Amino acid sequence: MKILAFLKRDFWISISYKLPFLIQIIGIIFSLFIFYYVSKLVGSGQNNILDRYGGSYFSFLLIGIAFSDFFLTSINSFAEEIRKGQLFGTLEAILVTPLSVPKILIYSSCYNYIFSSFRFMLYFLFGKIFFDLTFSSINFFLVVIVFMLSLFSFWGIGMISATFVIIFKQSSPLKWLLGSSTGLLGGIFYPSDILPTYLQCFSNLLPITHSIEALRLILFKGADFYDIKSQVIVLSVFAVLLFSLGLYTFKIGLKIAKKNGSLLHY
Amino acid sequence: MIELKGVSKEYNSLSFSIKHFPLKRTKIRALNNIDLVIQPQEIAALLGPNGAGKTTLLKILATLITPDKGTVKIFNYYIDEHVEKIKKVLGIVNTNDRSFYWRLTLKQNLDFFGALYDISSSERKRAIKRLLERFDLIDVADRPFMTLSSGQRQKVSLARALLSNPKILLLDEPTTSLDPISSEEFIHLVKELAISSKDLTMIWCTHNLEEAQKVCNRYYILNRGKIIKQGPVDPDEQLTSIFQESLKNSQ
Repeated sequence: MKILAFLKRDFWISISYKLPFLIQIIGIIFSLFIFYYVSKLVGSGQNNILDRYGGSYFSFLLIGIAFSDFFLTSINSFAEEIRKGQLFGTLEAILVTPLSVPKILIYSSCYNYIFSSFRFMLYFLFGKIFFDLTFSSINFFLVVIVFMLSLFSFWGIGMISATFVIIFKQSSPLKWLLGSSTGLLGGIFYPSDILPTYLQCFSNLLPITHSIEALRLILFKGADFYDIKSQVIVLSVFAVLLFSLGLYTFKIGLKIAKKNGSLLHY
Repeated sequence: MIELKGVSKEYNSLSFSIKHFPLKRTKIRALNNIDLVIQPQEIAALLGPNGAGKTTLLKILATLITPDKGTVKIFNYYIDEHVEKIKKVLGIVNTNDRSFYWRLTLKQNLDFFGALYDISSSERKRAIKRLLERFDLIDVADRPFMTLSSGQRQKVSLARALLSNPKILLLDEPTTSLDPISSEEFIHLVKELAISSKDLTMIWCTHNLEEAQKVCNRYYILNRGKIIKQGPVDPDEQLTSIFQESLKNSQ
């Protein structure tokens, strides 16, 4: 199993650096406390906007942070893996093996996903144990649908980002653009409805806005398919368009880099 | 068999220019209409001064660069159509010790790269043990790669290339970073390998004529992207004089 080889490689490398792992866990615990106390402050007043998400700002924020962490991993990890390979010099050794480049990208990102899932679970676990995080009756099938549609959208963006790294040997501006706009417009820290109308237009252009909105409604209000129909339709369009565009640009980027001999340059 | 027909490759170089403001595009011809046939079991020396096109040729064979013109066939597979099949028969040794994971042990590195060739876990373990014993690396097998000496690293590079039992071994200036003793040891290992492997074809890319004379049975001299001379390596005839004469004639 080649995927296992990548997981083992990344596990061995990550345990050879012991401190970052511990720091990440401490970071999660600290941020949970921050969310909790901020939510106490926000929740102390009357807040009609949060009613549609169950009323608790802590839960609202936790879902936003946990899912956005996971989705941003999808956007960043392809490009980061290529950039790491270029800078460390291991890319050539992997590229000459009989593994196709898309498989290299996916397998290299798996460990990031596992770690991201682990962080994701810690958020929920600590939230449940220490801060009484509660969900309504959840339609898991719907969660999976929204999650997969979101992932395909983010993989598409991730591949475009990776293409940028392959051609320009620089960290992708998409990473910066999406990183900043997700925090501001993606509805992670506050519902996007409170933004001015012109900013809401930009917010609607981000897949994460629709993903997190749909997931919050499913998790806290027990929404069914009809309640989140519009989000599912938008996410389906994003998934098809972005994934196809991502695959296409990546294929072209690879061809260009092989043609101009710059595949291994950094 | 490796067969190249009419292979050419040009690179674009961009530089700042006032005349062609802001950038001037210059074409650098790395390979110019190369025709080359390397027979099975040949140990071919690819010789040439710096910038002759040796590494470009090797990278084309390794499927890392696409030629602009011409066809490349390796064991009846065309390089632009059967990339993955070709990669399965190739082993590559280069001077870049950064192509390993420095924090992983030697064994972990070999295990990882071996797995990418679809070698089963048990087979991989056996192959790694055999290669480590053969290259006298067994005592350092569990040491992080970063703690190995240059000579040991180069032997690991050779071991990695041999893990998948390749039919073709490409060696890109493998002794460049080695001291004379390690270099001699490495050459000895490759010579042994050439004798013991019945079906291995090797391309040894170097500008060190002495080592080419020691290891190879055929030479190809490249200059300015063209093969200017080729022939069998004759123990009685010094490659140095052939090389110098060929370069002089090609000016």
